[in-house]
Amino acid sequence: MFRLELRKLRHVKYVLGAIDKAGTHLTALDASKPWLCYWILHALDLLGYRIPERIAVRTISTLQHIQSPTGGFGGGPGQEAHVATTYAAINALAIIGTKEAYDVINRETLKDFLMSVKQKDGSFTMAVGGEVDVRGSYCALSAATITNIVTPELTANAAEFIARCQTYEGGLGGFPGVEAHAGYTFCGLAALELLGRTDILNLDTFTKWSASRQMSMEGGFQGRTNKLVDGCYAFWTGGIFPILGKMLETAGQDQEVLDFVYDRDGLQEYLLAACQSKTGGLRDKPSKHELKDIAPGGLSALLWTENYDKRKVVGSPSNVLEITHPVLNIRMDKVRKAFLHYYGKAAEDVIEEVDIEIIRC
Amino acid sequence: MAEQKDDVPFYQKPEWADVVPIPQDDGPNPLVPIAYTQEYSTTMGYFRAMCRAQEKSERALDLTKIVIEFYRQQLLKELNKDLKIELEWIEWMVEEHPKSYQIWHHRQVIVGRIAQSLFPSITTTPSSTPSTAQSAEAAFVFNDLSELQKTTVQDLVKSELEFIAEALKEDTKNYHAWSYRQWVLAHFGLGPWWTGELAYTEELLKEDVRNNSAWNQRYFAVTNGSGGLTEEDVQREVQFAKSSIEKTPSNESPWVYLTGILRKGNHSVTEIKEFCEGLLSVPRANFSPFVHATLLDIYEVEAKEQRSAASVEKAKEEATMLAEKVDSIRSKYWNWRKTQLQKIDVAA
Repeated sequence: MFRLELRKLRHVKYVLGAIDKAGTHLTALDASKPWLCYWILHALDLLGYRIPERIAVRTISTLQHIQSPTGGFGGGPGQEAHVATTYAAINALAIIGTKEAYDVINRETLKDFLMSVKQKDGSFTMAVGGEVDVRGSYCALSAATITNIVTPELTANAAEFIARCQTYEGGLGGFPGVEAHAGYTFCGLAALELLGRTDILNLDTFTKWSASRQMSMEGGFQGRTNKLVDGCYAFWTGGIFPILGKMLETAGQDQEVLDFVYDRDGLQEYLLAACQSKTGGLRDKPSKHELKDIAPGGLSALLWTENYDKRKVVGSPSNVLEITHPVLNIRMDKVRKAFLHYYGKAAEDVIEEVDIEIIRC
Repeated sequence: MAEQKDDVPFYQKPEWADVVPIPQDDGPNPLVPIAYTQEYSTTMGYFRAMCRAQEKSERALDLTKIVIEFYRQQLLKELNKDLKIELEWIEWMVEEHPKSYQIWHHRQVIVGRIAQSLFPSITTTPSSTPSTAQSAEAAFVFNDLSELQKTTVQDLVKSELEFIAEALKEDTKNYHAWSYRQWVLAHFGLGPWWTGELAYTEELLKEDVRNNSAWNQRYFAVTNGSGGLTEEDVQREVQFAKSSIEKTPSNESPWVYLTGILRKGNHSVTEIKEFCEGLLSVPRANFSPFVHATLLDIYEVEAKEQRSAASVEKAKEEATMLAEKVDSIRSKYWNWRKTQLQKIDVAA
């Protein structure tokens, strides 16, 4: 029988190729340097490729130059701090996981920056004077959780704002009133999990909406009702299920039924068969020729399908990826290490609090 | 507005001669160095020079057309520019970059400032406060305005809604355009523009009944427009969704809309039981997973309310139908729903 294989070596080569020279077509990502760093490191990490020392050193130096004097990280040197690039920079540094990497982050100014984008209604703007949406809540809370700067002021009304983003459909929109969308739903749910407040959502409609995003024909996910399948939603929607599984468990479901919500084989097949490129990297859908660097998104998505509760891998046994944290989206061992650094003796309690054991394997 | 095409790059013009561009400091040996074009690095070099000197000038304002949002907003304020002209420029930018978060947000900030400048004494929301449609207080109470003020506001809202409608013609599901539309509707309070929104969404749904963004907008308008959902609204919208379902029973959007409106109006889903059962005799509707899914919900509620074993059985049949026949990709979900039914306490 034809065996689906995740071509790990090919993907590693593809990622390493981007490190020394990103083409002119990536100028559009000039305000997203920390994202490039994070995607590259995270992809290598998931594939189980040990991050070489020289790459770690260069990432640290690159991000040092991107940190804003007023706190947080911008898109590139001299650019204003932004919540999303701050999230990416902190995750990239946590993946490296050395003292030098942790020491890059100025936690005092980071706290000031996050408070400067926090709004009274519990929402966060993406930058000072920028737009409000639920991505801000997730990115801010993730960065604050990893670096141990969460305060009552930072979290005040945050869960209530996110709950107002849940629409009549059951999923969450970018902010109250706007259409339910898988990207914002993941962000809102992950933020609620960090706050320990997932119970604030309507669980029935949320579950139904999430399950309904899988496409009957392709096995992949759509991002909104009546839209087309897209590999990137394998990450966003796929990422919802590990957290949802835990919500249902808390609501009294037994372990046996937790592997219910979607067809994991179908999604893995879609990703392995339709989204892998011959030259390495993963793409949104087979018809797309130009690869946009979504490799880590696709890999993470594959991982969601593999490792919730009990591992289930379609195709070759070598397709197995490293275990990642479903909320913070860096490898489990890297989260543990970062917590030990930032929380000291309290680390074990916090690790339990953010449910690091959510994924059993 | 057609942007002037200019062959000479700005930095070769005499007014820029005194500025020394600052090259990007990536540090030694950076990760992912991007192969910038010369044009891009030079422009950014001049921008860094402006930022470092915190220069507030016309030439800096021109440069922000090329570079960045927040700085531009500060400059517009500082230099007291005509904001209407700014809107024309944004219109051009939106055509070029319809999916840019920043450019839509920029328009929101500018329109918020125009609103504030129209009636500085009564505007409650400072325009610099980022707000969303439902988290923001309206800028003022529309009914308290004078007739002249009302006309001014209506004109402004109308032109914004038309501008957004143009962008939605290009992409009927543009998330930013819809988000901004909700903000405009809500920011100016409970004015007459809300009623037009029903006709607008109806028109879009005539073109494409699967446009879920239009359904969502309709829900937003109905539940916020007159200050809340009335009983009359519920009846009208239930009818609207039902007739759409009769034409296209396999369309998920009106189904979620229908149950959403019922829930919001504190009506039970069991009120549409006859409607759903009736659809089963229509061959193409019988294959629609949404008919069976809604019947499952209905029988489940009945079973709980009446402690009825018969309703549990009917609900189980629907779950089986969904898991095995009409919606097998979600078989795990439907089978889980079936296990939930076992837990219902029925009368002996």
